Amino acid sequence: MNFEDELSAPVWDDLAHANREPLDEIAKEFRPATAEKTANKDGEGVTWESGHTEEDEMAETKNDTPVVRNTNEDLLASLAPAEDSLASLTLNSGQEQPGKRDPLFGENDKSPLKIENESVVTGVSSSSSNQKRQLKPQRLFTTARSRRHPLTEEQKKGLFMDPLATDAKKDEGEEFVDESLDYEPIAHGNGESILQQVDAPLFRLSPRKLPAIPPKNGSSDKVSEFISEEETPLNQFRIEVLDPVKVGDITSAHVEYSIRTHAQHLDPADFQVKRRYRDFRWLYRQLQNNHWGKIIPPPPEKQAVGRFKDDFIENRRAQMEKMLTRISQDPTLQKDPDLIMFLKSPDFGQDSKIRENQTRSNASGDSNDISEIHISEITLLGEEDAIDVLKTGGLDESHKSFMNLSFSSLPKYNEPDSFFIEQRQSAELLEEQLRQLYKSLELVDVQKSELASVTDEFVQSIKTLEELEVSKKASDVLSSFAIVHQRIKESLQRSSLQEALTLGTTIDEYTRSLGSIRAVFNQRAKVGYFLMIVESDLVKKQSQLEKANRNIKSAPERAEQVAKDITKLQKRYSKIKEKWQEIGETIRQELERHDQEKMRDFRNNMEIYLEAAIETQKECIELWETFYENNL
Amino acid sequence: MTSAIPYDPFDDIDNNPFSEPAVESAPGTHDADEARDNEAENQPQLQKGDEERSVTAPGEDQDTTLQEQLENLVPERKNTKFTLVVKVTGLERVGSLANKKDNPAIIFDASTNLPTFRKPKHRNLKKTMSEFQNLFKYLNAALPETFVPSLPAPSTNYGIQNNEDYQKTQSAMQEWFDRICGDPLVLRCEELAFFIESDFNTYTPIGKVKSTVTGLRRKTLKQLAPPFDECLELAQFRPLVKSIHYNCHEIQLKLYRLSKLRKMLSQDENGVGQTFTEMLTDSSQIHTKLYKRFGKTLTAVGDIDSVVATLDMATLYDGLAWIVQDTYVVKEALTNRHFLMRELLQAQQNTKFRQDQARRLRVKRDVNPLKVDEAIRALKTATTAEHELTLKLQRTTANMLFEKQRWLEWYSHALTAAIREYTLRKIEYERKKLTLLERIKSDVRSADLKGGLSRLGRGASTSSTTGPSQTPQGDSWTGNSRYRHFQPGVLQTEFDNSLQEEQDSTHPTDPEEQRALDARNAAALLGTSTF
Repeated sequence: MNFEDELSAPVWDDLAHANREPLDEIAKEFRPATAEKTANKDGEGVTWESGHTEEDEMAETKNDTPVVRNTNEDLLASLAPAEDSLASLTLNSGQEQPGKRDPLFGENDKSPLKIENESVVTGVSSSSSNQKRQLKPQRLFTTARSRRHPLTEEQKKGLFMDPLATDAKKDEGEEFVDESLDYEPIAHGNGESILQQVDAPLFRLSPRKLPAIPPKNGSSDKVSEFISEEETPLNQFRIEVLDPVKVGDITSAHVEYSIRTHAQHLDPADFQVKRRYRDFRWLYRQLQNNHWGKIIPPPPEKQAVGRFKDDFIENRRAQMEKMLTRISQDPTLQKDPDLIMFLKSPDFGQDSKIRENQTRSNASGDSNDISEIHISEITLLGEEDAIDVLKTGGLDESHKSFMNLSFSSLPKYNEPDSFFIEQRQSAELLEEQLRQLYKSLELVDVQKSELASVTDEFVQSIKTLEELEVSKKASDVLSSFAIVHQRIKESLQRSSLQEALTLGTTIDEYTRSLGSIRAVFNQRAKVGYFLMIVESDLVKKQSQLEKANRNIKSAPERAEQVAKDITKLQKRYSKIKEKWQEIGETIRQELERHDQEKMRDFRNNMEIYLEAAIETQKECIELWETFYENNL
Repeated sequence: MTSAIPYDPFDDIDNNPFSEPAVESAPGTHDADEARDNEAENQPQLQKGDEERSVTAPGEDQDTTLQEQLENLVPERKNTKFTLVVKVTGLERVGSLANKKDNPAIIFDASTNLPTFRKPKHRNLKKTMSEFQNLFKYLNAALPETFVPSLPAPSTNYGIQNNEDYQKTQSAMQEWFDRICGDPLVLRCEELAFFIESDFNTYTPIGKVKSTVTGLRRKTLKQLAPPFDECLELAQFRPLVKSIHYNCHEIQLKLYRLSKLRKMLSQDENGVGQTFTEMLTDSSQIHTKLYKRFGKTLTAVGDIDSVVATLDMATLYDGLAWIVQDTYVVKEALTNRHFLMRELLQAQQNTKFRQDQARRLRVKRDVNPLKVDEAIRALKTATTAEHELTLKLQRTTANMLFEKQRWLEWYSHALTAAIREYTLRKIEYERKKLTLLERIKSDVRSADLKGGLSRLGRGASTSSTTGPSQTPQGDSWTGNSRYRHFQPGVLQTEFDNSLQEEQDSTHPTDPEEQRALDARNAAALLGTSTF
């Protein structure tokens, strides 16, 4: 690697920055458009990808320059605002942009697509300009960097960034490389499957457009808009989980469920496979890995004891069916290749291992707690870099070994956005409350069944008294009395079953999906943590470089080496940062939607619960009234 | 067979010399003995005639004379000129908590024409429960012929110091007095007069009670098989009463467990309500109020369950408790009768033994006249005792046959009453529960326009019937227009206050208007609209 880098670095260095950097930024903005394209036209998609890999290399090399200049940034920064304001004044016409893009993308990109995007961007940004400020750092950087490039590029930037341009000064110093690498991780991630590519842009589009959706205002409109945008390709799945069968000998006993799927858009439309509980958990982990920030409908909890009891199995079957149904109703998740594989693969054991290995999802290393997560380096950094990282033992591993020798403490991730902190807290609180509620409901259920059984005994003793036939009248009364109690007991059992089915399962599912929400927050925190690590590494390296530069005696190769490392780290850093932000955006939307959906469901079940209670009550009154009329 | 042979000659001899004086002497002694219990002046003659009949009449037309015969055995039953009317007017619970609970004072008026009383009318008599208990103990021991009604519990499960408890205890005491006054044997007992005419809190039994079989001896004797009982009715009655006793006790226990469970359940329901109240599920706080109300209603429903549990105890449990008490008394009275029978058997044996001795003396010519005299006297007393016992047993049997009928009537009455009270209370509180639930129905309904029942296509029809489904005109869920136990009171509950603060929307006050859509109308609506 190093050798290659060394060779390529000087060559590209001269050429690169003029054209490439702006291009990356544009690419970021227009990724959705390009992605859609690839989805539409296979041929184009291929060429586009190949273009990518090239670009990848270019970007790596190009990164060297900004690092070197980093020391001069303070000076440059003072100049930045002036230029930016100019840029914002001179808004571009559509003509310039294609000109810039041509060399990089070739025919793939066409102006009309881009214009479409622009209009969307401007529309949204004007509506939520306040929120956009939270994302300032990103934009400010680009402006800072762009100073060095010819004005035309800056004009282009101005087109996208104008609301922020005035604030440019403030945040400049913090970060230096931002967008240059944005494109690459996506390219790698998408390289895994075309279906994923189709999905990804849909989500990545939104972070740009809907930054920091305010949680309390009538954001439901926006969300519904957003959903409707996506809903067009929604495919209908009909999934049934059936026939739980206990298989295996005493050591490996487990329950297998048949999953029967009917989906019109797939070929063949009907298929049936056998899966066990563990596989459902695998699917959950895999989807979690494939879609960071998405709230994946969770599988039922693990249970060690009483796994083979009939009602438990039935309960679990229902929960898993619900999970699959919900997954298949999600426009993004339903296209996930792993889901399709899960539903179709006849040799799941093998396929799942392959997929897991490809994505490094660690899906089978599944912990009990659904909120615990694993961040796959491949998804995070792209394949090449990830392999590199994994060789040294993972992101934080390398860091640890490094830093433990030197005396700096491990960086700690602090969530900068209060939105996430609040949401996380309220989710935890709610989970606590729901658990409490579930526990009380369970207690009520237990008490009710106890009550039913004691009522049974009560009825029996009444019957024995009746059988004495002390007097005709008394016996008659007693026998109807016993019957009334019997029927009330039945109604009690029915109502408690009803409660368990409505409120109970809803709360249970809700609680578990809150676990899933926590997982999403964990993902953000973990990625944020990696971000911190890489950042601190980067700072270290830069100081090393400075030292090397100052010290003339040191070998130039050494400085070069350090510079290369810095480039790599920068690239990594920007990739992670991009991911981190993406996750944040996805979480915002997901939370919004999840809240709406779940709460509606919850209230609906409250109503059903209430109606059932009322009906039971009426039945009860009727029984007593009839008894009174007939016997007393 | 060998043992049977010597008895025959004795029987022959038995008829002639020794039995006759015994017959003659019996009425006299018996009279003296019975005088304490019975005030009737004409008793000696009656008893004589009674005996004659019992000697002469055993074979012929038993069926028609049986009733008469029994009545003759218990002459008090024939004579109904004596009455005692007691009216319980109040109840007083004073002093320490234990005293309040276990020893309330009962205030009552009494009017009577019994000669044992000093004056015919008594007003505002006050007696504590412990005095009643003393009286009961005395009566139960002094009158083995009858089933003395057991006292009701001094306090109810409603808990002391409330109106329900007051009324219940008072009416139970009234019922006890009525039962006491309905028993002629108890009426004629002097002790009752002593009790009523004594001052407040001074009564202790004045008469002495013959000690019945008690303690270990009683326990041991009970283990033996009961002696042969020629009165089949009473022979069967004891096991019946015994199983009533045990069954009622069993039911009581089950009921107790039920009500305990129900109380625990109500606590858990409160817990559910509480969590709902505190829930902040929405990040947007739009529905906080709904959850709060829902939670409060659930809590109130839980409270009603707890009230129902208490009422179960207060109605059926207390009712059964009295039955259990009473069956025990009856059972023991019947056991005493068994002891009486045993005593009689012993007396008979003793008589036989004395006869034997006397006969042996007669066979010897050269016997000491003193010894003969002694033997004859011993035989006389033995025979007298035997006759006394025979008579006592006959009397007891006869009276118990009467009492048995009366008791069975009381039993089914008490049981039915307890069940009735239980049912009425149940209906009342189940209706209250329904009221509570229906009150929040519309709130939950309107929280989401699309959801819940609207998914089943019921949204449109139910949204218009938000009023209570139970009204004075009948219940909307049934077409049966029979009398329902609807009181307007069930539309309000004890827990309204806790809900009130949440209740800014006016809850329907005019039930007539709400009744526009009843079940039948709704069915018609549904039937036409959808298809």
